[in-house]
Amino acid sequence: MNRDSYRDAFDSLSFSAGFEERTAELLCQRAHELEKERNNMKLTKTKKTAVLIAACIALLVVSVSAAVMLLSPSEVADLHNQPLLAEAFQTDDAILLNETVESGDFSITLLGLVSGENLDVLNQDLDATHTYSVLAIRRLDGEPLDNTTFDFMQYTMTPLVAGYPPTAVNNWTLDSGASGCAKDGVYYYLLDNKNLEMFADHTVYMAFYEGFAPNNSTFTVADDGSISFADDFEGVHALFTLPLDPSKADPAAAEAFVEGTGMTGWSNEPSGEEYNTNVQENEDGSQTIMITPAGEQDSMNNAFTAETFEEYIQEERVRMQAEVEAGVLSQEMCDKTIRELEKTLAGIRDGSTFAALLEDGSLFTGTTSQDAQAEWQQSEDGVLAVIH
Amino acid sequence: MVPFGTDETIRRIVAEYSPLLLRLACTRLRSTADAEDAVQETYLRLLTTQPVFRDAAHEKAWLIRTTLHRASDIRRGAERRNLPLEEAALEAASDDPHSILLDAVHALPEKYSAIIHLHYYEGYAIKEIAKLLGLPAATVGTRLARGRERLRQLLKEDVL
Repeated sequence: MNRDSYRDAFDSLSFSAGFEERTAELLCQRAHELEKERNNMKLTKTKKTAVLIAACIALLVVSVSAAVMLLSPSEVADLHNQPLLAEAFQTDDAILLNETVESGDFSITLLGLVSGENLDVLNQDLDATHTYSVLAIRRLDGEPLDNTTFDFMQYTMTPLVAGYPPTAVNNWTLDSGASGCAKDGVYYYLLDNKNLEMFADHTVYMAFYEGFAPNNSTFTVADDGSISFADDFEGVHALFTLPLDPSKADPAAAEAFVEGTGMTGWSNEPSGEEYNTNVQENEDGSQTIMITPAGEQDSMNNAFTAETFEEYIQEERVRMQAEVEAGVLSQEMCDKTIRELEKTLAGIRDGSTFAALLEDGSLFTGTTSQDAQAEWQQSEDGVLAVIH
Repeated sequence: MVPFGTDETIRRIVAEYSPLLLRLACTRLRSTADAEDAVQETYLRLLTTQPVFRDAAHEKAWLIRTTLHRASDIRRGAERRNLPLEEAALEAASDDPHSILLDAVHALPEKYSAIIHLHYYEGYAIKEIAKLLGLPAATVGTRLARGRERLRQLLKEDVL
């Protein structure tokens, strides 16, 4: 058997005629029904409010409170298609907060958090404990938020830890994943971080703000290590303190984690630049521009030359051969990876490719081309590479 | 990205992803009707939750993972029901080469079959699969190698 016969076997499967058309029709119909339901709900709410205004001002106050009933963290997890997480939020391990901060036009509520293993059904290979946090945001003027009126990408929800620079412990270093969706006019965030309990002997914060990676334009660190928003930060922002159990702290793991980020320095003096930018002229006349968040080590310092990449290939060859001998990697896969690395090496030599070793030890490669106007990639550690 | 809810977006997503998602669901489900159910439920979930995606790759990854999850749910549900012996015997008796191969794929642990399929049918590179499934590239490489080895043992011949 070969790849073609594999494809033939799956191509031999026959699905019902008109599946796509029928499915699209069903979904369009359901979308219209949902839209009608939403409109009906708006009308119903308006009528109820009018009745309450006529009846009694005191009752109106009650009705406003009722109108901002938020989903529970468990319901938000369900909304994000995460049944195991929804169950975890109903256990005694969950920390339910329901704390609200008003900022700008918004009311921001941290609903709760829970830590545990294998709670993410969409990524069941997470074998380490993660912390999941749920936050709700709504407009103070009552205007509903939905996926078109709330720009998820303009805001950041991230943990921070007193005693460590905001650049060292945040979403970008904690391998975080954020997702969001709206329900009944409220926008809900679900944030997945590496386990935060290891920091529990420090003050652990959850920050929500308008902006990107944390820097000294956004945050100030006091002499005692406590973190607050910078006095002149004008965007929407909220800072919550997480009541983690100090007995669950793992100071050694926390220190090792922070040391591993390589970002232990901090100054409250704004640099004036959010990013450091480096431009490399390639032999073919193109440019490679590496942009790194300010304060982060310049990844271009780790860019390979042809000679250093040859050494890297040799090291990888030895490492993978050991895996082959240990039975965890096939010889074919080892050979294939080496062939790919050799292609990258050829690209480095002719100027069509660049490669750099990132701080987490992963290999970053990109293709340079005269035709490429603005290709870009973002690696997991927040490094941007732009090729013009 | 434009939310999944307008007729235009619905038709684009259904046309763009259905072939991939249906075949992928079939790595976990013997019945194509069940695969169709899994894919339709995935789209419905997308419609009702309307998650925000950073880009098309994020959208595709969500669809792939949700389809695989739904397919697993349906498979577990079917396994809890007792299959009549006559029907089981009929299935086992098939000597069609396509059926034999599909049976071997179904017999693979789920963590291997999805990776095998994305690599050998859809042509994704290891790094791309890693991003789609949210796994380290090294893990994908190892599972690909082990999945192929397991498939080879199941088919008692050289594969791929």
